[in-house]
Amino acid sequence: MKTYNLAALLVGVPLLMAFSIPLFGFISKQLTKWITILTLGFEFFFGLYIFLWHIYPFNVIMGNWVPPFGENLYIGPFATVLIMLVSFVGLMISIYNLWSANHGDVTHFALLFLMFIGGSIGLISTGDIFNIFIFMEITGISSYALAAYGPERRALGGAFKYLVISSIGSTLYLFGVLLIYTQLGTLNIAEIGARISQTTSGLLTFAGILLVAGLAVEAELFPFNGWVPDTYTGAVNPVSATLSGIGSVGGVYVLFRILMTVFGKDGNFVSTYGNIDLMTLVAILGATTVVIGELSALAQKNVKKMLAYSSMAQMGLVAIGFSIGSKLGSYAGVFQLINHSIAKAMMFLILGVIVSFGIGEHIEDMKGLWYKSPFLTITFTIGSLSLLGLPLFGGFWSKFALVDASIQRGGWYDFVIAIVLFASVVEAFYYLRVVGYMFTSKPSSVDKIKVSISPAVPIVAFSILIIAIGIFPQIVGGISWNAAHELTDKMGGYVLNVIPTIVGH
Amino acid sequence: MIDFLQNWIYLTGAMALVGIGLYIVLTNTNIFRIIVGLNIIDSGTNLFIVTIAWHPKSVMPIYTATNNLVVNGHVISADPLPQSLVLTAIVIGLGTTALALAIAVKIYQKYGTLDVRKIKEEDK
Amino acid sequence: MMSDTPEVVKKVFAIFVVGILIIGFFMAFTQMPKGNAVNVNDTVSRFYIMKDVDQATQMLDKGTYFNKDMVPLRNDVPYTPITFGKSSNLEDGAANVVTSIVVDYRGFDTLGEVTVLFLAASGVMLVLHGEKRKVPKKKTAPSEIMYVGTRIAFSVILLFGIYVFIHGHLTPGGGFPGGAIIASGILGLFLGRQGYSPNKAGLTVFESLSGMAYVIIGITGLVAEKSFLANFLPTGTIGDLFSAGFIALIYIAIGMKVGSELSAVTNAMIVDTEED
Repeated sequence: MKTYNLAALLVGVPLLMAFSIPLFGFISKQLTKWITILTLGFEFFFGLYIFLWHIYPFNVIMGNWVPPFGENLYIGPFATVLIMLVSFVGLMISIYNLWSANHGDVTHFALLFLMFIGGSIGLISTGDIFNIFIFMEITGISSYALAAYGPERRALGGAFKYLVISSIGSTLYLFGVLLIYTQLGTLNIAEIGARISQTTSGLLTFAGILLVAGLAVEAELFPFNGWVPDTYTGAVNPVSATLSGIGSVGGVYVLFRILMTVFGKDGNFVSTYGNIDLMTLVAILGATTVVIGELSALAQKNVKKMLAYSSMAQMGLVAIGFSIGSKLGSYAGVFQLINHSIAKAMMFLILGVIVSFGIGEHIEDMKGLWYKSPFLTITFTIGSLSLLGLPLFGGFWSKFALVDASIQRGGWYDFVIAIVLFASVVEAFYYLRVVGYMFTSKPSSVDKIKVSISPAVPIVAFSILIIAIGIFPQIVGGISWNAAHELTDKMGGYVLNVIPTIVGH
Repeated sequence: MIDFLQNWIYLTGAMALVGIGLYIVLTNTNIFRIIVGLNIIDSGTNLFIVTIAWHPKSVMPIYTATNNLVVNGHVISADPLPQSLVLTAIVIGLGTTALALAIAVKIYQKYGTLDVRKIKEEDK
Repeated sequence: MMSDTPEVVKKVFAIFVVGILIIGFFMAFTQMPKGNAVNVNDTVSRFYIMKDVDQATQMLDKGTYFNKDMVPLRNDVPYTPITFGKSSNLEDGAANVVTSIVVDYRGFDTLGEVTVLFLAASGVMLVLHGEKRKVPKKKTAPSEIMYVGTRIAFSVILLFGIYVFIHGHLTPGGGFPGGAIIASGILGLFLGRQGYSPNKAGLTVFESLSGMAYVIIGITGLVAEKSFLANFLPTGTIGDLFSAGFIALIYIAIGMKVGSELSAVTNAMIVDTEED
């Protein structure tokens, strides 16, 4: 078992800096925002160091007690790529915040933003199911407060709805964890994953359903995603970018870690109450999410709400990708997650710049944006084309892999191919409709929008990254392939790296 | 006749609390009552967690001069792990309730009403 | 919840959902092993109570802890009996086994929990920022007895709260109840005089420093014992006040943090003077 205990700083440093931000707040408000930027930069470079020097996979032992008796963090390829993604997107959004977050209590906003991302990083690394619950609550409470921030009053309704639904989801998750504990007597993911076949199957089915229901709230699957449109529309734009780019990543990660590593064996099993295959259940939920999300986005005239429904639908595509169960399917899921986070976060930031210059969020207000600011129009187009899946942009490779994996799986997954293509066609229609409005009708008086440097840096960085991934997919392709191997090979990829002597003599 | 577990009555009580709380959250329109419903769900969950740690012949898991936790190589005390989980769950419930109440106060200040239907009307 | 469907449909849907949940639990409970369903010897808590995690780790390294079918042989791990007041230099010296789990064996969970409370308090201050609440004209001022009584009671309550969190490793209680007791003493001060408000800067400094102290103790463990949140102080005899390593230090930090945090939240919610 390989250990590298210094990586506990991945979770320790955000906590230390977050506790010290109120003290810095006495000195100056801009200083607190810079502390957030520096901490997130540290996280990103630490993750990059782990990736480039190939130190992964390793364990981080907490409290000097070896798992399964104590807690540990397991950083494998899947955790490494997601940590880099989350900290990079967070770093860019916090640079944007230097310019935009000036209303209300800025000190506490910077603190909650830092801990939202710190909590997501902890959620992705941990190896203990109760620890997942605690980090889910850390990210949850930060996001309830962040969603309620802002000068508009419609943010409060969305935040309250999100709070109620997410609390109930966490409670259901906790019940599932306890039912597993009563049967197996341990809370470590590796040990539960290896020994799950020793429980009675009726209890296992019910615990599985509770866990999926609880986690589907964060992963934005139908029917638990009623909160998504109101919350994303009400919150200020950088917070919407964070929720869609980082919050959903954590939710989908935990859902499929539980389904594929804990419930194992490609995630399906037989229960005494008939054949309930949890992976098929999640695939059905994902497909329903895609259809409902795309059709709702088509009917929207408010650009922000359209982006929110589109986020929901893309998460359904990611869920379908993972639930295929093969290595190619998991690779498609990871890649789609990366592409969606970058593109969607960039589009919310662009919308934030547009709104701050007095232009509204309605699709009619986008008319003539090309003449006011060619920079914003070009970057918005790059984001849309990536989400559609055109070649030369990042989204092409993930959609291609998704369709390829569905074809290989066969069976009723041919129907899934139809859904993916249908989703792409509908997306093309409503995104290109917005882009079309931007290029038309030169207005009578053209007042140029000058975008200052602080919001421009993240938008440019995201655009360059999208085109780079489109032309050279090997940047993230190699580690995504390793991540897919870790998910599909339960014993070799995960359990034996944490408890090497679990198969005794 | 179905055999009952040793602590079936406490489990039934906890599940009844969770059921009542869930019903309150799903059918009420006053924001304050929804928060009360969330609180009842939390109480039911904590009771459920503590019940899992108890069996009829258990003693408390604290070493004192007169308390023996291990008899003949067999542990007879109550299970201390769910008790530490419930410490965490109570604190998390407290944090969520505090934040929900703050949002409710702000909603009343900005909308003038606590009725969920009227707030949705105004936002349309 | 918040939908436009008529009342009756919502009630029927709610009863349906609650019914599914309760029937599901009932069917799940009938699957649990009968009789004495809770068997502590079958769980990992057996090692936490007998304090022989080191012995179990040695068996794990030799490969004899799990058998061929991946079933753990928990009853085969050797242990030494523990007597109150005599056993010393155990791997974790707290007499209260729940405390030793919360702070020592699963200390990372407690760090997360302290963070949750901190974030909830910050969230309340973020949401309620700039709220002005005018004092209504007709408000009965508290009487003289309330004013003097709450102040006398505050000193006793403060002392009792400090007692609860210092003795967390010997008696039930610990950091979180101790902090809550201190905060309720401060709530009494609010009741005693109209327009009372504690020193907000002082509370913020207290809160931040205690939180940083907890993480710095963890990082000291990383430097000294090569593992985050490891116990680096000697554990004395079980049952003494100065035993159990760093458990008392952590509970002091948690107690002060929770006390100042809940007071700040109470202040933000009660505030009846004009704010900036």
